[in-house]
Amino acid sequence: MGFRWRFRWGRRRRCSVEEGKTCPRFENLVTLEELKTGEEGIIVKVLGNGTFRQRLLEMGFLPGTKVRVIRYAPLEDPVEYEVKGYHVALRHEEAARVLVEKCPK
Amino acid sequence: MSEIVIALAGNPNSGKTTIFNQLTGAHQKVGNWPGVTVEKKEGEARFRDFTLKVVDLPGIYSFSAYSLEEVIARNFILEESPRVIVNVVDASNLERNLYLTVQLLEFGKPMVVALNMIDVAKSRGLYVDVEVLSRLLGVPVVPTVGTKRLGIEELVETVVQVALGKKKSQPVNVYYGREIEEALREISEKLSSLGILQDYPSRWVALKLLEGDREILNKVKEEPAAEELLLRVKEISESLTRLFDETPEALIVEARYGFISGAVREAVRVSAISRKTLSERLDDLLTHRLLGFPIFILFMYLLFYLTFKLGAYPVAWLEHLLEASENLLRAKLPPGLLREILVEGVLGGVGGVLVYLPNILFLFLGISLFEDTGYLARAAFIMDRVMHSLGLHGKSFIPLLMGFGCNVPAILATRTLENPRERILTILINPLMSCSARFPVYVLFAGTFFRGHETPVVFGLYALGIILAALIARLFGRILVKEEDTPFVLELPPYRLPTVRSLFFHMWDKTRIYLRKMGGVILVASLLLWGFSAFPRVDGRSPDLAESYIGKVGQAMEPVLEPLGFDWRMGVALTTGFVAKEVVVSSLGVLYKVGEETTQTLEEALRASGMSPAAALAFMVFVLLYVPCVGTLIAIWKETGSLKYPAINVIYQLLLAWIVSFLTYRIGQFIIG
Repeated sequence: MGFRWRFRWGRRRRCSVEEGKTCPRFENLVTLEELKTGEEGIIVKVLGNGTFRQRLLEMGFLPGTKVRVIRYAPLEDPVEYEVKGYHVALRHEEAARVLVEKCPK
Repeated sequence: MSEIVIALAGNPNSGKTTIFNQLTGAHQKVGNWPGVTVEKKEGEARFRDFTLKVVDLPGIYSFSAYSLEEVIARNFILEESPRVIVNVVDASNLERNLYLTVQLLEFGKPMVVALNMIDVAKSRGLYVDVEVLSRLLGVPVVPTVGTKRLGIEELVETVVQVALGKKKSQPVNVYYGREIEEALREISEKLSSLGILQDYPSRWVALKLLEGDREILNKVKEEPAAEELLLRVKEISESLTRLFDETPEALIVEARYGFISGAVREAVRVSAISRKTLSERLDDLLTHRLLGFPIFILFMYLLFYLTFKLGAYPVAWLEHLLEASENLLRAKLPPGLLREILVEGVLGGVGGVLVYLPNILFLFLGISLFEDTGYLARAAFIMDRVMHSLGLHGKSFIPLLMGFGCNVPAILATRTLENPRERILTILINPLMSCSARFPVYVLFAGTFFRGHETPVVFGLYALGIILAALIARLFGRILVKEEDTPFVLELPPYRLPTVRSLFFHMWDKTRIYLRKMGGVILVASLLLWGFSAFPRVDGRSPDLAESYIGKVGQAMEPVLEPLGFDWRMGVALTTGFVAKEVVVSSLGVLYKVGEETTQTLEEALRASGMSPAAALAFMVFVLLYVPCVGTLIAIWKETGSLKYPAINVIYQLLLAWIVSFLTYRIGQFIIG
């Protein structure tokens, strides 16, 4: 998924509460797969349906939740993320189904 | 004295097992849930005049009907009606853990939360106000540290008080927002007016219907008035979807997490020191881009070494012990059938069970160490890409690796895989990992026919096994076990230092299952196989191997084996190899040396028999691939809970062995003669 959706919504949303950075919504909409190590994003939507989507939501990948890329596995796949204060690994094919708003560094 | 049944529920990695062990000590019973192969553990705890029967539910993240474990857990709560539910919650990972808690509240049953690992939470600057949390959830909350046995007495006391009604436990109803609440009310009312699933809490059923829960939908469909209800549920779902541009099940998840966020905001105080924890720094090293693999290989090597090299010492002691008992029996008993049955049949059978035991003990010690520290999840993280390309899971790697030592413990090690599809695939290809019992056969034949080239030959055999395993995994992945869209989602819990006590507890726990489930069957099978080699009697003594039943079976197979360049003696040896692969060598020794000069070694005898190198190579390939030994088959049977899978193993491996050996022999004839 290489494309980007560009929206300009007037309302600004806080991205990182602790550091007080701001993150304009839908300025930088990418899939979770495209985030690199150390980058953060706010989940916008989990695509797909059925078991996959439900399980991801239940594990805390909810719209509005912040995700951080901790590291890629030595063979690049899977990728470790931090969400809701715990660490979880997803494969690229799964991360590609999560839309996030990338936070500026 | 009265008995109180309590159910222990919680997330994986929440320390639930530790709490269970602390509650019940050694008074545990391990079995299976009725009709399925998921392990069920029960134990007893005493408190004053009360006996608490503790049922350990499978560790799960949610109560949706997506996995067998989830269905088992919720059916137990709904149908067996435990007096109190104890929910073990990891305080250091509160939000995700409370998701299950919220779902437990929805059952509306008396419940106590064990807020576990508060020490870890504190060390990360998280302070949970137990009173506030308890008030928000409507149920008592008891802080515990399972590994240090802190709070366990208080937990038991609270559970008993709740059971007696002396302490209040009234789970709150999570508020799902106006529209969903209205929908829930309407569906609940319809449920009671139509008299559908009245044994279950109606709000819970209504929620499940809105979530589109497969299992509950099927249950409702069986009811006579279901059609009207389901039609209405569908309408409501559709209108909610239109209204929120989101499916009801997703809205429900969001509402639950919304409730949790609120609770956490009120009950948890964070003293903001977000420095890197020790666990994160450890991970920087252990899953490092470049160093991760070498370290992983080192750990795997150590596990292998521990299991098979250190395990070899107790194996040798056991063999001495068996030998001593054999000598004793031989000395005390007169020659005859009874002595043979006892010495060769029974002792041989006991030996067949015990010979795996030290390896299993050490392997499980190693795996428990990986599991309890959290490294197992990292191993899966590192290996997943390779394994996934074969349709397997990162966690498949350890069982496959262990297969090179012995397939029996390796198949037991597949227990770490939660997904049944991946587990069965891993089990099915496991016998293609060339176990150490096949090695003596390679040494004999490679040394006899390929002197000076033993290394490439033996290495090639191992590689052949791995390549075929990869191909078979892909093939079976397509045809045998159908793919479900279940995500990978591998939790990487923080590293933890396990206690020695819990390590040995887990090790013994798993070993006990081997002894109880498989010991008896392996014993009987070994006895039977011995019987086939010791009958029919000739003048009251055992017949020559070729004349025994097992030998006759081997001889009968000659026409099938002839195209592979094998003679009847090789057929007989292969048949005896069903007991254990290394027996092939001793059978060959007996069969080839009979009637020849006794000074001849087996190598010389084999060379003199006129066997071609191509046939020898084909024979090694056949030994690599053909039927798993009886111990492995029993392990497959017991672990999958079905005779279907050992049957599949026997059939596909025989076919594969024949085809590959045939090709080896025919191509080999051209190249090496």
